[in-house]
Amino acid sequence: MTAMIDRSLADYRAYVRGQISSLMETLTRVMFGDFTAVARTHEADDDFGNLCAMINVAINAARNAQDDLRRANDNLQRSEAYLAEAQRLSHTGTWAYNPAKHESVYWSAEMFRICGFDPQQGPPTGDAFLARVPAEDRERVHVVFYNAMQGKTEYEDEHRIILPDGTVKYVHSIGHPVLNRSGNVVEFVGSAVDVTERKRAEEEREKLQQLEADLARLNRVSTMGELAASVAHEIKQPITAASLDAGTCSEWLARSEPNIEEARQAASRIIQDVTRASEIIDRVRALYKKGELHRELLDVNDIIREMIGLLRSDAGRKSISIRTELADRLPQICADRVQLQQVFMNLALNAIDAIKDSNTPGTLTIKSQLDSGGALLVSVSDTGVGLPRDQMGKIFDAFFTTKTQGTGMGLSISRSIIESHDGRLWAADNPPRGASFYLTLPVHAPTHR
Amino acid sequence: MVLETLYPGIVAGALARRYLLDMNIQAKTKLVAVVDDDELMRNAVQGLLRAAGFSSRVFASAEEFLSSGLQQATACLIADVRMPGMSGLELFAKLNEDNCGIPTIFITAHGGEKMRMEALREGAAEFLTKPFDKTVLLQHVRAALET
Repeated sequence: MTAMIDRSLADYRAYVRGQISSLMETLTRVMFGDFTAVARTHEADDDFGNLCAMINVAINAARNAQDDLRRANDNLQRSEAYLAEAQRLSHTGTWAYNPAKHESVYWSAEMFRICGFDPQQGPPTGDAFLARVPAEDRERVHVVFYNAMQGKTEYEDEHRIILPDGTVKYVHSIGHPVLNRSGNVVEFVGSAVDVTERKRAEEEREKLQQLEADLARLNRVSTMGELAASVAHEIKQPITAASLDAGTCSEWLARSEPNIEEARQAASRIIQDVTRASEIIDRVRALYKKGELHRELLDVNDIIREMIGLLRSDAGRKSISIRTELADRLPQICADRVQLQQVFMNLALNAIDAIKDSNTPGTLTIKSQLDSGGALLVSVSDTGVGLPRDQMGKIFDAFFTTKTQGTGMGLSISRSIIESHDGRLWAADNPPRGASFYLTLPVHAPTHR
Repeated sequence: MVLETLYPGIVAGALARRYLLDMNIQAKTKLVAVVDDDELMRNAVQGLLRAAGFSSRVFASAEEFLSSGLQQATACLIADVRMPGMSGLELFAKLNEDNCGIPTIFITAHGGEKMRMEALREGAAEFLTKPFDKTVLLQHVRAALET
């Protein structure tokens, strides 16, 4: 300290003599080497006391500057910790590549973790990194990066990497060149996001969508299988009648004295027969149709009436009466007609089965109305055996069935369809006996037709 | 036999006249009842029977036939198997219980061989599955009326 003061005093004298212009700069240089913190203070007088005061001021200023630096360092470290945490949470690594040296100059901790390299070893070489890319992707990954560097353009790529333990990851990588004033690439910086979870989720979702589509189709076929006997019976009636009427018509015309009036009546009956057959085919054809979802504006009452037309004969044979309470002037809904037919048909066939199982004549009641929230509410109620008391929570589960020949998919898929239309499907008891299924669907527009 | 050999045309003509006479008698005296819930089928069968010269009445259900009081007058019954309420087979059993057995031809769109055999075992005259040939139905109607 004494030497420092002596030297400072010599400088002070030089300053007084005008040999140096800035005493503060000298003092701080003496005391802290190259440290050049700017400390504004009073100009010193020419006495030693003032010099010491100035030294104290300078020391304090330097200490303050040191504290500022420490705080800045702390902030920087904290910021880096936050950044590292953010990178870890978002599975995002960052890197920088020097094309002149042909090597990575920086990899963030998360970048090491994603690619499974040891941070202690420093960033891997380009070849070491490419070795982790599956052989079939390797050339493409290399070409994309190389082209971006040559073209001085940004790049974006998604590829797999395989870690030494066999783990396969999907990486979404983006990068851009940093150019100097001459326009040369001095560095390529970028980030790599581990999108494995998202990719897996996408794959799972695609598989589920495919499965759901297959099941929906299977269920439709199954429903049609159940309907097949009914439809076959329906279609055989007019075909048989037409065949008999045609024979009768020929009979009257083949006589030595043809009875034109009788032949005309028989021909007229043939027209009725084939018209009935055609109507049956038209109604059934929609259920067979396989294709993409096609949402359109629909009147739900029309769909219910069509379904009842198909079911009435089968229900009648089982001594089941069908009752409807369809509200007038309901708003239209935007939905897939075939899917809604499928849901209503499932619910109605379940109801018919439940009544049949009760071994007593029963009633299937279908109501449509608006609920208190303005949504469309449709209920399908029966007087059948009712819901399984101890398994109420399972009836919408896939593969759960109480029928000897059921697939257990009907209600599961029905709920899935209704929910895909932003609606709800649920079940409740129908006192004094039987079950009720309720579904809501959002209406297309608040205005009534 | 000799007469046949010498005058086949005369014999054939006589047989034909006898047949037509029989049919005429059957048409005038023997009633065929048709019970089917399907209106098109009822009308088609009745039209066919009329063209063949048979007298017929149609009923939309088994109950309607039973309440018609025409059981005794009915010489042949054509009944659908599946109908709302009483089925064709139940009607057949009820008639037999009431000692009012009528030669019955069942027609159905649901027929399996098992159901057919059961119906024939119970005494049905025939069990036809839709669609069927009109000549087959008429043959069985004639056969039933001759019993």
